[in-house]
Amino acid sequence: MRGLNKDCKLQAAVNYVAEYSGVMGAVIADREGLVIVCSPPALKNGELFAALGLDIIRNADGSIGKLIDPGCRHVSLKTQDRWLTVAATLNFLLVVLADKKADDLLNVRIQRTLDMIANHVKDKYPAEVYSDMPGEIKKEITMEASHV
Amino acid sequence: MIDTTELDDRIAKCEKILAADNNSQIFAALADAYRKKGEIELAREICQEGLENHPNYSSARVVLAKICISEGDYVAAKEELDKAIKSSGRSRAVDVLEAEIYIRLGRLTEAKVILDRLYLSDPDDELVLNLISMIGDEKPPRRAASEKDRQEAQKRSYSLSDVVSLLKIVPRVMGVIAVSQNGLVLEGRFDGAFSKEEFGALSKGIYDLADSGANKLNIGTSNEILIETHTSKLWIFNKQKYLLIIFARDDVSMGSLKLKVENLLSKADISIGE
Repeated sequence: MRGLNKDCKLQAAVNYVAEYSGVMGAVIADREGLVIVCSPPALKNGELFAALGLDIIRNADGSIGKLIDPGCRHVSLKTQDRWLTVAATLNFLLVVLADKKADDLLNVRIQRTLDMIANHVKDKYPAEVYSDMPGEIKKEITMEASHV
Repeated sequence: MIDTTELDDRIAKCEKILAADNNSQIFAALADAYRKKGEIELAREICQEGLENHPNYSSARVVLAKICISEGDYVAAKEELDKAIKSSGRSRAVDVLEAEIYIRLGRLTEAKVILDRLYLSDPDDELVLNLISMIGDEKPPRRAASEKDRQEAQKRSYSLSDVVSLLKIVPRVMGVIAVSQNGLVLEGRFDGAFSKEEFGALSKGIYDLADSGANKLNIGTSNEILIETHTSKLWIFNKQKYLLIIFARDDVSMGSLKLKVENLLSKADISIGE
């Protein structure tokens, strides 16, 4: 998938969460909602997961920022028989879709996966690159702001 | 009846603590949760591994004794319990467990001595009464009125206002609000500067946006949405006629809050005017 080899740490991270009982698929996306890796590699609708996952967490962040404080880092959504989790760490997004078989321990595995992603980023990039990355989705920088 | 959701929640929390500190004594609680869940081998493995670092941790010895009982090895159970007593002395829970082990070993006289003492100090203890019935020494039921009280309490139902008020007093919960599907505030209690209407409208907006995302993924209508920031949590339950929204600090106990919500909503008798 995406030209990444088996030893890719992000692929290992997404595989780790995807192998949990009840997980139907998982995606790691970048801050623009583009798929970096997914599991299983032939995951149907991986792009849709990534794009909508970003929409969900951005919308939640925008609204909750007006209510409480900005900086949404985790959205968990349960329907009759599905459980969707969207979580942000540094500049990456983890989207996990599970069915009814998944139990609450999935949260632990998701947290560990986020740690794996964060550790990988910290290992790979110098501190100054990620130190200003928030742990959640950054607020949109407007064109106006970027040119001031 | 054992609530597996609660157990899973407890296991998740214990594992998180152990992942952060592998020398933590939380291993005993983790092993006990797995034991209750029926995963005996895993429970034993966790407990024995933890006891290597904390050999004098009596609670873990008690858990190991219970694991031995589950495996049918009552002699080993007694040995582990003796180690716990030697390390931290006796407690009511230890006495109950010892009585059970004596019954399993067929040492009924010794069991009866302990059970008589426990019965005298608390005649309503169901665990003790069950063990007494196992040795065929039925005691008269004492407080018929308390059973009636319990039945009355179980029959009690809650209004939406009761549910909101009772959830609001859970530690670290800062606000609870019920909003109709058209965005009108039905009930609300919270700390904070903003108005009920503002809180209700924005929370309904959050739910609608998240739910529309779920619909695009064809996973159905959201029953529950949890949003976490670094400092707070917003938990929204879709109860068909209304949305129940709980706003809490980040360090709220999600396990106990979840149990409280489930318990109250199961007893809620809520009718919303059209």
